[in-house]
Amino acid sequence: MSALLQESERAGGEATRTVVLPPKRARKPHLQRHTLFAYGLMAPALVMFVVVFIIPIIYSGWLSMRGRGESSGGAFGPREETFVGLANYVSVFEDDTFWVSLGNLGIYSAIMVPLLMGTSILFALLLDLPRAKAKSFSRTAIFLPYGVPSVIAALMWGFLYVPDISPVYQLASGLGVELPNLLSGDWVYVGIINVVLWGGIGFNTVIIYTALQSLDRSQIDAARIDGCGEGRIAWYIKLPHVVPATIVTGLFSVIGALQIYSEPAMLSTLTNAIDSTFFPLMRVYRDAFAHDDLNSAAAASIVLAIGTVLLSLLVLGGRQLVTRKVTR
Amino acid sequence: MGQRRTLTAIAGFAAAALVLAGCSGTPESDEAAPQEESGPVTLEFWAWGSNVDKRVAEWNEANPDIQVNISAPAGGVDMPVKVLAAVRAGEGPDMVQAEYTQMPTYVSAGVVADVESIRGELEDAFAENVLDTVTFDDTIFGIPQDLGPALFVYRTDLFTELGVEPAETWDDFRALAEQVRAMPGDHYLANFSSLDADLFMGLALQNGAQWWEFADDEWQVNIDDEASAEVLEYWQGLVEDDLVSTYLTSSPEYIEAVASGKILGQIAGAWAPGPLLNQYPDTVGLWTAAQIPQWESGELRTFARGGSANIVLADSEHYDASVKFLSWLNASDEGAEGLVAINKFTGAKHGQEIDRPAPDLIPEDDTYWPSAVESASGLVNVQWGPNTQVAFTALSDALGAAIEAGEWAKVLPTVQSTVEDDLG
Repeated sequence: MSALLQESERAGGEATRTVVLPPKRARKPHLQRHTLFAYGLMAPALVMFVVVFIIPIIYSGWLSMRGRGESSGGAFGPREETFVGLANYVSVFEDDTFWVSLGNLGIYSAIMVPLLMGTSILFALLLDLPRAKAKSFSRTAIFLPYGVPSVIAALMWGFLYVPDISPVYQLASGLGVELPNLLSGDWVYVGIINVVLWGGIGFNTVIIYTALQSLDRSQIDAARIDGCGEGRIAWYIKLPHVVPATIVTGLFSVIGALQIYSEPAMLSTLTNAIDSTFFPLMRVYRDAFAHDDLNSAAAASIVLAIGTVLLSLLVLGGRQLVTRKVTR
Repeated sequence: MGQRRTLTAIAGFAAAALVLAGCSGTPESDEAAPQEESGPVTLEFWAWGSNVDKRVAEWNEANPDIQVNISAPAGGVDMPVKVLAAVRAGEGPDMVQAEYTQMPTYVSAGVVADVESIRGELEDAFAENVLDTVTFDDTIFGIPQDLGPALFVYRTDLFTELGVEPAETWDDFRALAEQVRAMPGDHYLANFSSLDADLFMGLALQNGAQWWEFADDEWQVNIDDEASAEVLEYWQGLVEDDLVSTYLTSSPEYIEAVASGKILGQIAGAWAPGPLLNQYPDTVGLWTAAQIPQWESGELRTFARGGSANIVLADSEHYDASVKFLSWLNASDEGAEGLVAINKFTGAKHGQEIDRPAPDLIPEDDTYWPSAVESASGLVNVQWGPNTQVAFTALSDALGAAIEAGEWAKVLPTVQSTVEDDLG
């Protein structure tokens, strides 16, 4: 099993590390035929990509530049949809709730992403310890919550958070301990982050752990002979080795954090502390489905998408810098 | 985690693609259908109301030429979104159930056909104030089905046990709430949920507010006014002094609190016995209703909580058949009797006058329906704005912030400016 993982990780690691660019030399006929064949094989995926990804993006862009025009008269006269240029974007940027939701997202991400990465690395290192017992059980136990849909997870945790009906709170108060209400005030961040972490750690741990498996064991043996303890081995050998994998999972975590929706939306049915515009995507949902204003929702989601792409590029750029340092 | 979202997104897109593929296939067959109704037609009717399917089955039995296919693609709140999306995709149904508060959304979206063709019949069947709620720009756009005149629905057993009587005025209500809090057992007289934006708006209406006004070809928004402020201040006092609970409606805590008798009563619509019976089947026989408290005793001023009309969509190819069916269902005497038989409090006068059995929730209580009729007689006039839904979400958020963080002063100005901005 671990040999299999090693192989696939090596292959996977290589593929993500070097972007395969077409050769720059003059094209030869047989190469072109190869290229055509390759595109032929990719065609179904490309068609799907265009239909379900490119076209919706273009459509959103088009929607975002349209808006309600003049009423056709009377108090309830229907309003024609017209081209409004960037007006929707302006109104998104002028809206306080947009900035508040971004601020909330910033707080959430700043806590959630480092915590998620840190915990995942720690778990992966612990799983990799030679003394670790019941490894496959622990690995499964850590990974299992990832299989639970986030809505279900939020629902389940939500029940545990509600002080009046939660067995946890009842138990705690029976023991004379007063737990903070995770559904009130700033504690809701803790409440949301807990749900996300619970579901997310498994995925990240498995990726980092798999990367660890590809580490050449002779390095560790050498270090051990030199008198290195497990802590120093982890710090000087294992950690640098898993940096690329960590950055990939980090990127996923950042994107995931920006797209946070179902957990807070679910918890918002239990508390006043999460309103309908708490996070940017909840605000988009409100515009589209409570206010029937698809245009404004499209504009806000395009702003978010551009932000996500920029952040991803930043993370990837950082990743290239780091890997260059490591390989040097 | 990121990947899971990506997968979800892909699944979503794939589903959307399938839907698109489905769309591209059907219109041709629709267009090919003959315009004149020579053969039997099948009408699509989207409605969530309980038991209406029984009435539809009866109609289908008696009218082989006009068959009605009823389905519920969404609940009350989500219905307009579903309907508007379907209409824009050219896939809308013929008829839709619409809450009164949602009527302006449909009308100002331009998707509703008027029912002026049967104005005379409707004026006979419905009281003027009921017909007003489906009339926009002097045009009747919907056929009222059921009404939800507000009542204070409460637990008789617990009231008796505590030795209290329902309040007649809001001053009494506060005093009663204090009395209930002082009694053993940690009881609350009522609950105030930030999610019940329609209730707050109704309370403001009762106090004389009118949130929207159309004058000089322009919408005036008066949410941040004195009458509403007075109502807000009143409830702020109750909440801050811990005289009412603040659970979110339908949250597990709320359901538990009602089930255990911690919360004694609620301001509900006349439809209350249905959902109460479903949710708390153990409480049969323990409820009754009183009129809601008044600001000044003597005069009965009430408002509606919920209630819905049926509308015909402008895109329907079977306008005549749809109107025929809906007026039978809701406006005819036979229809009104049928609605009463399935436990509706009808919009039609005839249905309200029928001597009907007590609700299943309170089989012994003959006062319930007469109370509802009395409440219906005191309904204040209401002018819904074209963006009522926007006001409701903004109000829910603002009330939530008030209850959670004490930001009561911001509630009305925030909602006022949100609604104004949206109209602009």
